[in-house]
Amino acid sequence: MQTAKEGTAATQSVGMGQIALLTPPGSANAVLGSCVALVLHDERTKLAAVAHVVLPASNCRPGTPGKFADTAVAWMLDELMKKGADKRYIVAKLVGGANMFASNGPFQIGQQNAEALRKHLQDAKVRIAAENIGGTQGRRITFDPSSGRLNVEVAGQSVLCL
Amino acid sequence: MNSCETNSLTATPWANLFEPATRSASDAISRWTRRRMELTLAEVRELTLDELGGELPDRAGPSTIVTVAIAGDLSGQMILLFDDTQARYLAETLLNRKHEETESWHELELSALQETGNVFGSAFLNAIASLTGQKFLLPSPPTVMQEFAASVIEQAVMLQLTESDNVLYCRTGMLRDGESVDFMALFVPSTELLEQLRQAIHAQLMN
Repeated sequence: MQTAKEGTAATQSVGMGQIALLTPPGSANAVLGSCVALVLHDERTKLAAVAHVVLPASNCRPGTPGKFADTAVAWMLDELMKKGADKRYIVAKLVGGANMFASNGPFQIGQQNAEALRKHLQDAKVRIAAENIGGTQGRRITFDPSSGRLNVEVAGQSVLCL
Repeated sequence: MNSCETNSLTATPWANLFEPATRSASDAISRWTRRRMELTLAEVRELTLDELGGELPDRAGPSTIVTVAIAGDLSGQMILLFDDTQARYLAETLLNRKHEETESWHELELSALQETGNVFGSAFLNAIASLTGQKFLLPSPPTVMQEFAASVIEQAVMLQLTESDNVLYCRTGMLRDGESVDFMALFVPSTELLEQLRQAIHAQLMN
């Protein structure tokens, strides 16, 4: 199973459970429902990673690091620092976690994903610079590490820049 | 994709279960639209998360989507995905209206799409219930939305992903008067319903 996509290709699509490691001028996009995109960005070196997190906790289940909030944060920080990122300059952005079917049960997973990511980021002492979480609509995001701009599209609305 | 794909030992039993349900939905939709609508079982298999990523529709903009939840303990979701043109064509046909270039949806058109979801969902679920020995599987009132298709599918598969690492992916396509239509219907059962379906398949194989 593919753990991470890497490179400077024009735009990488980050699927469920995947992580993209970005070096400018490469960018990444993802389409999100209840999953949450975690962007970690070193504002000084412009190195970045984007994860498409599916579930809040691995609980010893198999899967790529990007699938779970706990494994994603640790893996992304480790890889970014191996590439020369400085943790002091890394900031996080969180997008997604919708509840599109407005019901209980597994459809509430989006909020749990976001809460788990906030906790693991806090434990790792990474500042959350921006969030766009929850609601009842899906999102399409594009992240450009050279500018740090995270564009969020919601169907029928104008593009939001975080 | 118009043929039934197989990727595992269970592929044919899955098709044996879902083909009659697809035929039942096909007949019901033809009666409802008064047109020759042929629904085909395009694909049914269990996918890993990586494989699922490759199957999600890669549409640039939002799609018109009708969702039908399965009520009760044996829950699940049915998702009907149209491109906007096809959804408008369907609604106009059902309402016997001339084509109108507009971006907004009238209440009556939305109602026609909801009823299409209801007709499709009821026929499909009745057939599944009958084949699995369930008394009934009840569709909830359908919801129409303009959404990114991948977002909706991602949310629906959470029914299985919270407890499993694979997803049962059942997709149908559509021919209208012999012409392929940009449409797909997906059936995503909960883990409980999936288990019932597995038991039904096992029983079929034993007979």
